[in-house]
Amino acid sequence: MAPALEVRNIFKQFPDKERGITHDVLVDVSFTAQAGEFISLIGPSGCGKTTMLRIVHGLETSTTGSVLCNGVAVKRPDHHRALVFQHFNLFPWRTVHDNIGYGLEVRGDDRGKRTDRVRLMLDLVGLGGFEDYYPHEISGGMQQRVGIARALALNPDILLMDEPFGALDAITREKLQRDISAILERQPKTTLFVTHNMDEAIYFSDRILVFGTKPGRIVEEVKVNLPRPRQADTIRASHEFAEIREHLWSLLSKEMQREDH
Amino acid sequence: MKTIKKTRDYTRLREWGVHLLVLAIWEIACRTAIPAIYLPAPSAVFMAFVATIKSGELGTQLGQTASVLFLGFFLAMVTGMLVGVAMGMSRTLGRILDPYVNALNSMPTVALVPLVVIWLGLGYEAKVFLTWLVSFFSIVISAQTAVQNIPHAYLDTARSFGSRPLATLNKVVIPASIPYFVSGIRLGLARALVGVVVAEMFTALSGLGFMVTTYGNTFKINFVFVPIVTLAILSVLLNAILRWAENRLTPWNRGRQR
Repeated sequence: MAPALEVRNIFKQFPDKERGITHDVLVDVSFTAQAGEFISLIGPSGCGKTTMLRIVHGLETSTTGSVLCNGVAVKRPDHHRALVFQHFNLFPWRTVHDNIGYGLEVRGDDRGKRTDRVRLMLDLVGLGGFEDYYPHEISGGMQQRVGIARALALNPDILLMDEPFGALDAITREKLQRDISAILERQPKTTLFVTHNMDEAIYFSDRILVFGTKPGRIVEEVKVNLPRPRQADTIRASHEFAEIREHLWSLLSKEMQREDH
Repeated sequence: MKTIKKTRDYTRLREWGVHLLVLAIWEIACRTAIPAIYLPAPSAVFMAFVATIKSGELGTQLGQTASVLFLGFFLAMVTGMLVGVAMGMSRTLGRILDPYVNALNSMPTVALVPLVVIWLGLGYEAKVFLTWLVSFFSIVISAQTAVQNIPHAYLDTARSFGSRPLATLNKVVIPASIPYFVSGIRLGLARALVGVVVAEMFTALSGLGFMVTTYGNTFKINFVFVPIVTLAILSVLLNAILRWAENRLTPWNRGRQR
């Protein structure tokens, strides 16, 4: 079976006109994801992991290389891949209900179908009863639930998350991590997850792609063979977790030293 | 709860007391010191109101003014938003039209009255055109500014969900701009009111502005106050309606700082 996602030899360069040079943001990045696999992209800031995610999504184009989603080349964003943003990016003039339904509306689903789907998503992310609220009336954690529901409403082949918990406080973050984990246990989804939080990456992932900087590239692929379903507390206390964390840290600290020089 | 309400009632009462006191002082001053040719007593203004209402004059002229104002302002709103949004969407169009819009917005448009009279005469069309002219540009500018300053995150999100340009305009650009549209419209309304009165004073055939000029020219000072007070009430009323409409249009913006 063809992999759900195939990323082949991606190069991305940004011209720096002021200095008359080009920056290599990504150099020869290749990886695949099987259906239902959870893959994290971790690395220091500026390693191009977010750019990689946006290229997979179609929001940005690569200089060379290709992205295949279920065998079809990605040219622009479409409803087969849905993105969850770090800063939620909800529309303040839309209610929770209409924010969740936004992608369906753009896709052209009729109202009845949309309402059914949105209701399902509200239950899934635990926001039943809040459908008529506006984003500024609910907490950050709830806003990101809306962001996740909006993405999942499309039932995408691939879920893309760009530091989805990055803008949340520690307690909200922890709670939302557990909830998202539970949601994905129930409805496995091929997921690409950008983070610079090691614990988060291990807790969620089947594989972790460790990115390095200057130029941005994959340094190593780390497999996480912890059994599922995973319990946050027991997982973090386990010996394997500590081992993987140690290994990730050694890779990342090496990259950060390189950056210092 | 009850005490709060009582205190508020009491404050209200005191405020009204002050207003009445000012009116009383005004009345006394007019009867004792100020010659009626400079400032009419409130009672004289009231009598003038009664007379113009009874004769039907105030109703007719107010109707004239309102008709010019609403048509001119409505046209300015529609055309101003269309042009403003277009200028905000297209960088080229914006750059080409910017100097003209800016010049016509910042100059006193009243200076164009003689030209308008030559082109369109002294009739209804001329007045509607002038009203449109003075309010159009501020509406254009606020619509353009709104569209140009849509947060990038909104557009990114729209694109991320596969939205095409027309759908993005409909579902993102326009709704995100509504609060700015409304402030532009409020600005435009203030200018339209000036425009309609100036137009009526110059063309001097009908309307509240015409009342101001004719009574002024004949030194019927208490009658001059009739259209003035009416205009004040009209603009306060229209602004209140706009504020109400703004709340209805942007329920998501209520109690939220932007």
